[in-house]
Amino acid sequence: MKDKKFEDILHDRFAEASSQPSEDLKQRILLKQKYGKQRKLYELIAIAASLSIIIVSLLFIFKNNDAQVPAIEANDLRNSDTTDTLSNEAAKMPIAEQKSQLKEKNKLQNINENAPEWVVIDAGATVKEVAMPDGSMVHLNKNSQLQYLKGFKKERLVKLSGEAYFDVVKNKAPFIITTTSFEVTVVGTSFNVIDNPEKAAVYTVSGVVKVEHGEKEVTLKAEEFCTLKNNLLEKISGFDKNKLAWKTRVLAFDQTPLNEVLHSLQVLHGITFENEEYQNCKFTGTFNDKTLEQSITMLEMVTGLAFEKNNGGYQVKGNCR
Amino acid sequence: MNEQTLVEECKQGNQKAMGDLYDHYAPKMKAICLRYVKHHEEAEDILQEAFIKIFKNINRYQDQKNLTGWIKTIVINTSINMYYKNKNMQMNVDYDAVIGSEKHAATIADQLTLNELYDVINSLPEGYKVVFNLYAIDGYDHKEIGEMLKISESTSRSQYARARKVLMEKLNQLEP
Repeated sequence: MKDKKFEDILHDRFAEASSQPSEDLKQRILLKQKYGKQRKLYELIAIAASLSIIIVSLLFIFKNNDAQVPAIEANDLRNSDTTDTLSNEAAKMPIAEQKSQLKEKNKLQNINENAPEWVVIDAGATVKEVAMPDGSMVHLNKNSQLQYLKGFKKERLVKLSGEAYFDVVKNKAPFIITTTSFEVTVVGTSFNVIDNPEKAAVYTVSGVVKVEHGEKEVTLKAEEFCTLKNNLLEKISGFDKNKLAWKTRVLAFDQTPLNEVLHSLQVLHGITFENEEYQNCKFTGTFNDKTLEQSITMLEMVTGLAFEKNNGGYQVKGNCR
Repeated sequence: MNEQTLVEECKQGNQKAMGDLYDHYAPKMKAICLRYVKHHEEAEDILQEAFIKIFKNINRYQDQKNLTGWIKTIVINTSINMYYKNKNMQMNVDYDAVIGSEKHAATIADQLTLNELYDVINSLPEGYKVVFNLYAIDGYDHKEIGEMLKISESTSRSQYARARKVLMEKLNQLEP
């Protein structure tokens, strides 16, 4: 022992070390693993539409933020737009698995063999507008991360965690968006996707979208959406445009119960309302790019309720007209 | 259940097997993470990311002999990707303290508790810490470290030499 270097001793000491992770970590990992695998079956194929510009909004809302790639906030803001990272050490692993789908296989090879470089964009605390190399525009919601493969010519490959709204320029190269959960291929149409542990849904804004899940498929036209419930696709009409308010800054209500109105404002502005029950209170009106204060003033005028500021939010008082 | 059966079951998507694999490896892997990051929360973030990658890629695990090594590689790479990649690893700490004897440092390293050793490692400047961990404890060579951290092999060497000195000094200042 006495002839050993101190670092050899450290090596041996640490070799014995173990530390019990917290109890819920195992469940979180297994759930995420299972969930991710299941969603791989869930695939979207957009049918070509006549639009020269297509608008796609994707919402991938994870219940826990732990699905997110850790932010690269260590880099200063100036550089965060173009920070290159080469993400997966999967690149170092042998490619054994043969994928049944040729498309998928090509993509895998692309990722493993050509060691592509991903450009990483973190939105941080604000909504960020990003121009892609092909001229497509992306609005990236807060706390979301977008990565795209350098080159961006033959295939436009994008990875997303969080939420984004795409203005995709139509060209021959397919626009493919992948998340930890699933994959969206865009040819030319407009749609909106929501995906979280309780709910997976596709909203069509315009054009036609084919949604596939396993052997089943449904075709959606404008303002229709479908959800994935108990592993079954279910088609429903009516699309709530307020879900896009983080990008459009427009919230429109028509005889909407006040609780829902407050919830929408809550989501958009990141504040809380302490409200009692306002079941019978309905609100009709549009907040078009209004600040929180402007919206509150408008609500007070219309409903006759009083909104009192308290820490981080508002207390709702009074009676509804 | 032996290791090979366990891996096969995991490849089939057996949740129980995955849980068992996790139970078996997670504590050791967390101990590794704790040398790269100071806090348990960060270590568990790494652990989560790493195990998801492990289960996702278990089909690609073919070498039937070194599962521990394979898992460890993923854990260490995940640590580096999450916390160190593209960071400036150069740490030019002015250094003129009396280092003291290497032998004494070794004696102390042997007598401190494991928790104290973690504190010593984590008190190193980050650039030193990661290079020291990779080289002295996790057994990578300087060429590999250079590739992992995107620094040159010689930078890795000189970082290691400095890290070693700083660590030795820190150990010599401690009385077990």
